[in-house]
Amino acid sequence: MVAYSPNQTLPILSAGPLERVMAGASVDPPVLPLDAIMQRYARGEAAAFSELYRALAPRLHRFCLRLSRRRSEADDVFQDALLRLHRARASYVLGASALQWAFAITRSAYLDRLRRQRRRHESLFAAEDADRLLSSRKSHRETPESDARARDMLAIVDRALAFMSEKNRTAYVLLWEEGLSLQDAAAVLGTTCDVAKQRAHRALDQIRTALRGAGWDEGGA
Amino acid sequence: MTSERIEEILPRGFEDEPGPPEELYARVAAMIERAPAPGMPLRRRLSLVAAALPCAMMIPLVGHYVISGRSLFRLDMGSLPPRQFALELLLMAGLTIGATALSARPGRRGLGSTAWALALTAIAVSPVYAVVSLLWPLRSQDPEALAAAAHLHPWGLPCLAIAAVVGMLALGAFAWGLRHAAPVSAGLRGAALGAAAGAWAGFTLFVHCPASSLLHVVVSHVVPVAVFTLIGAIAVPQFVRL
Repeated sequence: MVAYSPNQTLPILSAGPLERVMAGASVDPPVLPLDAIMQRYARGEAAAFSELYRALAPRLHRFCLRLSRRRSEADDVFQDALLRLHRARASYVLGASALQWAFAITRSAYLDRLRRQRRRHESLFAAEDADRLLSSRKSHRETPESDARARDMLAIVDRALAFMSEKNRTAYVLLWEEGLSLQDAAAVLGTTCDVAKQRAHRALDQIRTALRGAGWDEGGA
Repeated sequence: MTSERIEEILPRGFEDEPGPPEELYARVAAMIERAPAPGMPLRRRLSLVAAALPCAMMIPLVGHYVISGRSLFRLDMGSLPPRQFALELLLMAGLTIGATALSARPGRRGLGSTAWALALTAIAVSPVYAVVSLLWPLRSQDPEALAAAAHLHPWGLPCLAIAAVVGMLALGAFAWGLRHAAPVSAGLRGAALGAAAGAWAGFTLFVHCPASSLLHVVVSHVVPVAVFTLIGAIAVPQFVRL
């Protein structure tokens, strides 16, 4: 790793997609059949569940993983979220984004779990789980060297995420990783665009500090 | 490493998460098959709640009329200063309907009002009601109305009972209508719904009770509004949380 040079800026934190979103660049929402499937399910069509699961599960499970950082924990939150979604399907407002609604439910399930764990004074951070999670990611890098660098960076970002507040972490995950627009992320977080933006900025600041601390800069790894 | 390459690493790295394990689907499907789910759409439930709220207002008033023979609406209504009465009536009705709409609306996205709007509702209803009731009291100059008001309970215990019944019915209706329907800010939603229920109780007393003495208005009109906000914040979130 190359030592951090204070005169250089980290481009990841100055011109990333999140910044572009925050600067007001338009983000076209993908046209998904998900909302149509959710509408059918909300109307009581039980058979739509398998389609809904196929459409929703990969992103929802990834969101659970990013929030809880442990696979076993993420599986539990994921199951709980889907059960809540099923229980509340009649509350789904026709025409609303099913993905945002599902993210909000998942976050609610995660927060309940977090509260229970805090009451029991359980540890929320398990480094070995997180490392296993990182190493389980499939590699798409061109060379083993770039793959190793990516893993390094991911590990640093992952640890930084673990030590920030849930609010900042969720804002970061929704905006940066899930690619939600600022308005959509704010709605999922139940807050205003300004607050969501502020939380994501705080998260990015923490990530920037962690990367600098580990010697990352644009000059190389 | 160039900036473009660093930018590429993060999103790709996180997108590469393997999806949920296969066996999870079978587990979730089995759980869902066993779990009952209410079938009535949220909008229909909320329409029923909206229809039930005026009924919740009338039930204790009719009960009070049957028990004590007191009229449903304030005795001094005909002799009140018309402009002040109309303005306060509009204010109280606006406060009640506004608090109800902000706290119970599902919103375009199905996620309800923002945390700020809910917090504002929960915080503002009691003080606004107190200011209007205490700083701008409606007083009739009609001797007959004044004599009738003089016979009211000094602490307003019957009014307290009416407020309790209206508030509980309204809060119950809100909790039923929004059961498992608040994925976001359930705590604040509970407090805002409590404030709205309190506003319904306060509005009922505004149209029913001619009292203007400080002790009566504070104990039986203003305090219940604040108490229902508190009850809403404590008891409602577990019903509405998703």
